[in-house]
Amino acid sequence: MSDPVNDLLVSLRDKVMGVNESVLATSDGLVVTSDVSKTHAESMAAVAAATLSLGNRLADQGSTGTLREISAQCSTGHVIVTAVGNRALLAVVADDGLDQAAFRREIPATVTELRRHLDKDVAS
Amino acid sequence: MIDESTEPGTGSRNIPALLAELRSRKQSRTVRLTGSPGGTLHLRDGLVVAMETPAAPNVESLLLKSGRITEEAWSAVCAADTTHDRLAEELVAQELVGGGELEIISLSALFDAAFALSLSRPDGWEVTDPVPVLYRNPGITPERLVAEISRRTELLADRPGSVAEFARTRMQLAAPAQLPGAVGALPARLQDVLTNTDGRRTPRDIAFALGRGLFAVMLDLRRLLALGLVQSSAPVAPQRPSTATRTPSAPVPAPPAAVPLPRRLPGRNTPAPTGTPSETP
Repeated sequence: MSDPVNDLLVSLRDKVMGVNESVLATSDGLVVTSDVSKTHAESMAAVAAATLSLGNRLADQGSTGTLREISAQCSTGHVIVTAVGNRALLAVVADDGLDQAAFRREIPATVTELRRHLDKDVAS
Repeated sequence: MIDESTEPGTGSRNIPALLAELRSRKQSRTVRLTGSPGGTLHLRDGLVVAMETPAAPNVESLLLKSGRITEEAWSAVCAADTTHDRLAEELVAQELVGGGELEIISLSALFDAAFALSLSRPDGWEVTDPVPVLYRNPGITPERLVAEISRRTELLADRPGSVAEFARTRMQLAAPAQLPGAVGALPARLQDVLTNTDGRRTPRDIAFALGRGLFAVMLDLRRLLALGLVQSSAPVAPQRPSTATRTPSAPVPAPPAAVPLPRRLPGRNTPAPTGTPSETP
């Protein structure tokens, strides 16, 4: 089954070389949708939510403004957590060849699109 | 500093022409390509010594992902050379890799990146001052680079569909790969490729997952394709049912006009007169 929100995750993987898996989760760590093969989506959602929350505290402590994203640079890849509005987050697993330029180019549009879909969930 | 009046590359029509120009001037430069994917070409004295692109693993990926060098050892090398100018010398000095071996890895990463970059057209480029990069080879002339790219492309070109398309295709296991015994006889190298073929990964993704060259993985995949063990993953575009209010596709037949049904009346055994004289008794 395909839904437009999941299509956005698949499309991110198609557009950005190096993106392998991604999980869209709520800020409290529940999976909304995922595009994964090896990653355990539920665990990733929980850890990413905790990480983003800690990142917000870090930004507070450092007085460095609003948190944009948290990225774990590892020896053979990256995990990048980006906030999607106030209620959700996107965790992306990428290999060490990640096309950073393409990622920087695509992620704002993807986050905006995801927000547009998720905003429909609450009555305005 | 680069003298603007002699800035190379501004008049070059394409990358080979740019490289030929830099070669004739024996310049040490870094050429940044923009595009999808982009890349970086490193030249020393007019010769190409390294290329990096998201489309193919670089030397660091090859060394670390394949397990040839441990993370701790790599950190120690980076710590010993904070400018990252002498990484190759440090690797050899710390006896982590032999000089000859590193030269082979460095050259293969260079040719592999050149091959990967040749599969897409760059949007543009920028020639900048040289930046440090991990390499250990005497440098390759642009002519040899172009010749090697053509050789690799020709080796893969007998397959239907373009080589660039093959590099972007997501591969999946074919039914025979599930059969017991079909995989066991294969060399370990091909088995590794099979284990990393999951219907989501392109040849480039498999190369990164294994820490092998893109071209080598494409050759292996071509062999597995010929053996019928893998196949290109069919694009899946299943449509979920819409939750929108359904509108009937055919117009609903209009309700019949409100005419009263014929009635029997006492004393009459014929229906109400229809206006045809022959029916009257």
